[in-house]
This record gives sequence, C-alpha cells and structure tokens, in this order.
Amino acid sequence: MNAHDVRVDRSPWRWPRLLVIVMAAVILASCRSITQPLVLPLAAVAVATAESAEESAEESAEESAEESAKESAKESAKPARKPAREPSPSVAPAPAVVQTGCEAPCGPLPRRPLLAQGHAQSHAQSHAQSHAQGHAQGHAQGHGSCETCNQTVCMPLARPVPMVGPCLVCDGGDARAPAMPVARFGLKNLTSGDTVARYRADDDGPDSCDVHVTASNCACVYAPRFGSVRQVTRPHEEALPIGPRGLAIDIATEAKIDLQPVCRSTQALAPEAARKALPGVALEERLGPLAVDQGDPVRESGSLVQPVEDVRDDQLERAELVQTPRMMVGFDVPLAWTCARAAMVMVGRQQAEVVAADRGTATLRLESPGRAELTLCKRAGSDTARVGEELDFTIYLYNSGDRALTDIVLVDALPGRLEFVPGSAAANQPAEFVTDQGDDGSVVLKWQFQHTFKPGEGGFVRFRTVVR
Amino acid sequence: MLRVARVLMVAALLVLAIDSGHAREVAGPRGDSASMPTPGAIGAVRRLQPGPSPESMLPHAVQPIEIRGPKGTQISIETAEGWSPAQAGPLRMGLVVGHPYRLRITNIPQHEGREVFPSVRVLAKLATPPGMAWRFPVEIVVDEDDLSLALAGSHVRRVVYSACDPDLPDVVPEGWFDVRPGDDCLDVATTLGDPVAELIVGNRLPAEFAGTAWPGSAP
Repeated sequence: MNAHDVRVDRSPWRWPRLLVIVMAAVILASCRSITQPLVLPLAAVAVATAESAEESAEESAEESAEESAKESAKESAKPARKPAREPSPSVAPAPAVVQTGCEAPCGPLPRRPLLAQGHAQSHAQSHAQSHAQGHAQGHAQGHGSCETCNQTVCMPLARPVPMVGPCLVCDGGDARAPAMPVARFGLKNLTSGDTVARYRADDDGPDSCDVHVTASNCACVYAPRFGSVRQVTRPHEEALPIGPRGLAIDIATEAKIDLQPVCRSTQALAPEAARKALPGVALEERLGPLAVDQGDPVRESGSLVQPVEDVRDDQLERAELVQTPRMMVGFDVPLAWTCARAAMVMVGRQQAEVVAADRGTATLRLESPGRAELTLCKRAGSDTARVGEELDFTIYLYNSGDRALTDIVLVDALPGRLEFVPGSAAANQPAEFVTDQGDDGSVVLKWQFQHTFKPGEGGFVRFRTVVR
Repeated sequence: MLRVARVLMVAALLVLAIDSGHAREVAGPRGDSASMPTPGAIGAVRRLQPGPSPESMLPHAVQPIEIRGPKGTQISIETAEGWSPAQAGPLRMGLVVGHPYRLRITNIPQHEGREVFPSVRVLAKLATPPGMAWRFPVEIVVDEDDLSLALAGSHVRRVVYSACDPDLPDVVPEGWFDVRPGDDCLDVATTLGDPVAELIVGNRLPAEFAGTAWPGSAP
C-alpha cells in the first residue's frame, strides 16, 4: 500500500524531469548548428526516449515486489509508451529518412508548392476524359514518390514541357534570291532581311568594270511577339428555340426543288460550245509542234538582257569556275610529322602564305593578288528586344582586298518586324542615304558612298529600328 | 537517487553520442568545407517568403506570365494559401505549364462592385535566352470588352499564341480578333503561331468544385 502510493505520487514529476534533461542535452549538443545535425538527434532522442521510458518503467515495476504494484506500474507506464510508440511505425527511423529520400526526385520549387496536390485530386476525378487522363497520369507519377513528403516542399517531378521558339528576328545576309546589280548603282532581288553591297575596283585593270556583290552576316535578336484570338459564346446561343406550345420551331421547312437537267435531249448549241459548257469533259489542248514552252521563261527576258545574252553569260561563268583558281584556300598541315617549318603549297604558280603555325599545325592562306574584296559585318545593339523597343544596328564595311574600291552601294532590306526610325541613319564616310522599296515590298535602306575605300580602309553605317 | 543518477547517465551518453557524431561529420575526409551545407540549403528548407523570384530558382516547368487588365482594375490569383493581394496590372507570376489557375479581377471600370474569376492556363514554355525568362513573360491581355461580355453572361475564351515568323505581319493591328462562329480559337491560333496560353473569362462567382470551369481539367 505504501509503495503503491509513493509511485503514484512520483510518476507525474518523473517524466517531465526526464524530458527537461533530454531537451537540455539536445540543445547543448546542437548549439553548433541548428539545421542539419538537429534532425537526426531529434529522431534519435525520440527513439531513445521511448526505450528509456520502457526500461525505466519495467525496472521500476520489477522493484516493486507486490503484484498489485506491478499492475499499477504497467498501467502507469502505458501513457508514457503511447506517445513514444505511436509515431514509431511510420516515423521511428523514418522522419528524416523519408524526407531526404524524397528530396532527391523532387525538384526544388519554392514558389507554388501546394496547388499541384489539388490538381492531382481533381484530375483523378475527371479521369474519364482523355485530356485529363494524361494530366492525372503525369501527376500520379509526379506524386508517387512524394506521398510521404512534406507537401509544402515537395513538387511534381519534371515532365516533358512543350517548348516554343525561340522567336528570333534576323537581319542580314542574302537568304532568298541572290541580289544582282542593275544599272550603275542599283540592286535587284532585294527581299526582307537582305544586307548586301555592290562595288567595283577603282583602277585600270581588265576587270575594273566588273561589279561585285557581297552579303553581310546575319544578326539575330530574340524578340517574342504575342497575339490572341477570341471566341465569345453568348448565353442561350446554342440552345434550341422553343415555340409557344413547347414545339421546336426550327423544323425543316417544306420546300419544292425542281431539278433542271443540265443537258436536254435536244442540244441547240454547237458541239464545241457544249464541250466548253459542260464540266468534266474538257480536253487538254495540245501545243503545236513548234510552240515555245511557256512554262519556263528565260530569266532575264523581262527587262534588259536578251535570252541569247543570258546563255552566253552562263557559259562564261561556268568557264570561269572551271579555269580560275580559287581565291582563298585554307587547310591544315601537321608540322609535327615533319621537320619542316611550314609546308610549301603551290597552286598554279602562286605560293601559299603561312598565316599561323601553332601546335604542329600550320594554317595557310592562298590569296590571289589583285583581288577586289569588300567585307560586311553587321551587329545588333542588343541580343533581345521587346515589342515596341528600339533596336540599333551597325554595319561595318572593310576593304579586305588589295585594290581600291569605288561605287560602293550598301543596302539593307528590313524584315517586317523592324520599323525604321526616320532620321536615325548615319555613316562615318560621305554617303547619300535614301529609303526605297524592295522587291517584296520591304523597306530598303540604301547608302551610296561617294568615298573610295583604299585597301585596309573601312567605315560603318548605323541606324535605329523599332521592334513591332 | 539511483534513478536520478541513471537518468543523468543516459543524458550524458546522449550528449556524448550526439557530439561525437557531429565531430565525425565536421572532421570529414574533405576537411571543413565538405561538411558545410551547400549554398542555399538552409534557405531551401525554410518557409517561403513572398517577393521576387530569381530565374535561378525558377523550375523548368514554370513559365512566367504577365497579365494586363483595363486601367484601374485589380488582379489577384488564387494560391494554396488563398487569394493573393489584389494588385493593379500588369501582374507577373510564374505558372506551372499545363495547370489551370484562377484569377480574380475587381474594380472593373463602369462595373464597380462586380468581379469576375477568369481561369488561365499556360500551354507551353517559351525558349528564352539564359537569364531572360522574367524579361520575356507570356503577355496575356484582358480587354475591357472581355470583362463586359463576361459580366453580361457570355463566355469568353482567348488563346494567346506566339508569332515567331519575322516576315508575317500581324493579322490585325490590335493583335487580336474574334474567330468566326463555329470555329475553335485554339485551332485558329495554331494556324497563326504556337499557342502558349489560354484564358477563359465567364465566372462571376468563385467555383467551389474543381473541374467545373475548365473542360477536362482542374481549375
């Protein structure tokens, strides 16, 4: 009797004291770091607390010799076991382990964590529809490994996301029909996005009258653009009209249609007229034996050059390609295999020049002397632009040949999404600037330089546009 | 006394075990730097705070959008923690691709005191240059006419598409148009570009049940 009373008196103070001691130990141990090391000690403390509670309860029960004291000791130990053992099946080694195991497949998504769960449930409800099935399966996969994860942190697994773009606005080059010189300062076949220049050598050489055309590089800017389409469904628009007595009034109206024969038994028209009047019996007209095929007109027959001249020009171009050595050849020769400083390459009677020799590799360049060459380089002021923002372009010209160049005409046919800002064109060399219209209706900026570019000399033009 | 001594011994053993484990972790094979948490590890487990989200924290499945309404309107979005504070447009937010979200538009001009609850869903993600996702969100414009039609009982559906062709001019200067009766606006938008977002305006009360406002999906 006395022992039982003593146990009843001490038991309410014993466990709080034990918990205070354990908490003090945990705080002391985790004072260095309160994040990572605290997780495992807490789980260990939870398990250790339960075990120590069991042991102490059993030992105290053994100490009491009387049977009634044993029973009371077991009863008093039960409430202490419950809070320690209840989480043990799902938590015991688990609370930290399950979370860390789930963090790996779940990508960190800090901003919108909780809507996914509701979506998965609602998707499961609307499982009958095929569109929702795909979402529900995706969510089931996404949440499959995250069921026990903390919902405020866990996010659906990454699924293949449809991508759009990138939306680029490119200007430069000569993409479509190749630009061709016309007249003294003109160019044709200018389409949107073309940036080309025509020029000729300024000397008394045999080819000084030849007009060359060169194109620039292509400068692309990321500039997405959005539009939208709208569909309005008004109330009762789709409903069936109902009559005053509950009858639908959109019944089929009785109508009498008289079918008239297309061709009667008595044909009053001539056979040729009947053949043209009746569909489906038309005959293909044959061309005469000496008729010219009209489907393939001669390319230059529209304006200046006659067909015969065009054939002659083609033959000359082909002969030039076959007989003339290439203007520039670059290839690598491994010097490590030989003791020579550089390989001597002869093309025709011309020796290649060693441009660079490094790491056993020599880069040779073969340039024919007396070449007229203009290099264009186009740069955009920014890599990205929103609709409505200004975007400036700069086109650099450089005489990369060894002959002076004259009659240089630089044109830039703006793409449809770039709108020229009037008054923004500028050049560092004297040039006449005009705006024109390209063959496809695009706005063409045209600079006609009055300056002769010597070998190695360059210049630039600049203008601004608005992205639309 | 014996019990108290036993409890103290258990506590001392616990302290020793915890401290030795922590010391083992600190004295790792890589030295002190190996035991340090990775940058952002502490902040990742903390409660999320409202504020601007850098693109480095933007998951792959999230696409920034920008919603604009008529002048004076207030827009808010429903999250798991309730409705966000109403703000004047444009409102930028990151939405998970393929998931519908519910908006609330209040303070509508000429319709003071009334509100609509549109649903918005991102259909695809934009391929933006690195670091430019928030600079180029999907732009969704809610017109004043849309709100008037919705308040009159109509059902307005908008499909926003991305027109990437640099040579194709806009179909109309305003950037949008109404499809013909019987045509599906998603089909029409597919012919003009790549559909990236869908907006449905028509609810004048917040739907309580999921899946009632959006055919085939959850709100």
